Amino acid sequence: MNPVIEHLPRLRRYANALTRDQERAEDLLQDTLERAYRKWHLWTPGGSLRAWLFSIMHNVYMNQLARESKRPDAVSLDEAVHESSAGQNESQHATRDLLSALAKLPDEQREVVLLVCLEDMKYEEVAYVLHIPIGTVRSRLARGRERLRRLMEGLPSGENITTFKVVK
Amino acid sequence: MSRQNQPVSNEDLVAFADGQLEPARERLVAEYLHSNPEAVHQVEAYRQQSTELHRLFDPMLSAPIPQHLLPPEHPSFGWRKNLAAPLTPRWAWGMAAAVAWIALGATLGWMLKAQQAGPTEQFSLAQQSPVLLRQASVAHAVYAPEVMHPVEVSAKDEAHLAKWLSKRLDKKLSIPSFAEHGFHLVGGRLLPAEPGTAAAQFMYENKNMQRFTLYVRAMEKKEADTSFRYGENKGIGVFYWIDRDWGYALSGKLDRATLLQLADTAYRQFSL
Repeated sequence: MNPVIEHLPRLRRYANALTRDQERAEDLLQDTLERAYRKWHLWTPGGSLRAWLFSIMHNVYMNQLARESKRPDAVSLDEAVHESSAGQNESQHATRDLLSALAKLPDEQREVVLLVCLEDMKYEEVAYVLHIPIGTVRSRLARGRERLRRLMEGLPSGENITTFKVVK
Repeated sequence: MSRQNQPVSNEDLVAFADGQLEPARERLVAEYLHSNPEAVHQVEAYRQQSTELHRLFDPMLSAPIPQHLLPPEHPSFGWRKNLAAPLTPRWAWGMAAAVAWIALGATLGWMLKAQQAGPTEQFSLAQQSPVLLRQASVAHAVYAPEVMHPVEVSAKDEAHLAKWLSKRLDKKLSIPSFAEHGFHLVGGRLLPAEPGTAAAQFMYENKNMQRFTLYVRAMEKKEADTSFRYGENKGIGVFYWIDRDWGYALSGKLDRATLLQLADTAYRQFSL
């Protein structure tokens, strides 16, 4: 059996969490697999196939975002307005809260949060997938999750609050 | 280590929640938590985020992978720019694997689809507005049920049909054959696509009187080539793709696996 097949469900889950739109997620997955196949000769057996595939998905996703931002009529991925007006009555519901909070994160933070929290990746692996230093993984993750927490708890965004605490 | 002397940061709390701190630092943070209930709350909230994300998206893991995303001899995998490159044997996907996936899909049904169908989906459909999908499915809906006049030029004048539509579309069209799938040509017709742009529709039928149509039109130059895309419009399934400024769409009320095979056959003959 082809080794990629076991990673398909996870790639798809990640694509769905990233785009929160089934059709977009399928396009992302399809384009990712197509590119993975074209670049198959670049994969070194023995390396982490999962990280390699996720890293391709990251690249494809970045390209798609760049293309969309160039289109004048592009609709934002994060329809925060749409989300909040649709669910006034059930805004307490954790699912809706988490989804809408997730939508409010910058893309770079959302990716790190999903790779760690949903894909259970080690920070080193995330660094490889996103082509960033591990220190950047840690700081983006910390900012992203603190922002998520504040959004869900209805606290101010906390951008200006220092994140350091002094050990007593 | 110098890091040992640094104050506990949010990064530490997050890494602690993820169980990704080195042991020495982890002990230090654990100690810190004893006297900081607010930090304990933060750690719990971070862990809750992971739990909640899994609860939200894990159902996706058991949902069937749509057939057009499966890679068995699938034309969307590399056919576009990689036609010349030979397939490595390990990429020659076992048909058995594909069949297993398809069976799984049929058994589980479109759990996900049902779960997610809603405003988001309609919204994105309208947003993406795949013109090929729309035009081809509408043309199919109008002509496929037609008993008396399904086509303008019937299959017995196939040579004339090919010549005529080639001239009108300004593209050398050879009419694909689907005999291997049990479908024969009914005929074809000329259709308007855009002001100044014509489209061709070919209709095919099998012995059970099932029909599908093949729609071809010139696309605007700026449209990039795409791999196979699948969409539905009022029960009509459509596989469509763009190849060197030409758009192709194969539509029918047939199951998706059959449509995919037909689309694959069409693609191979059009790209000759």
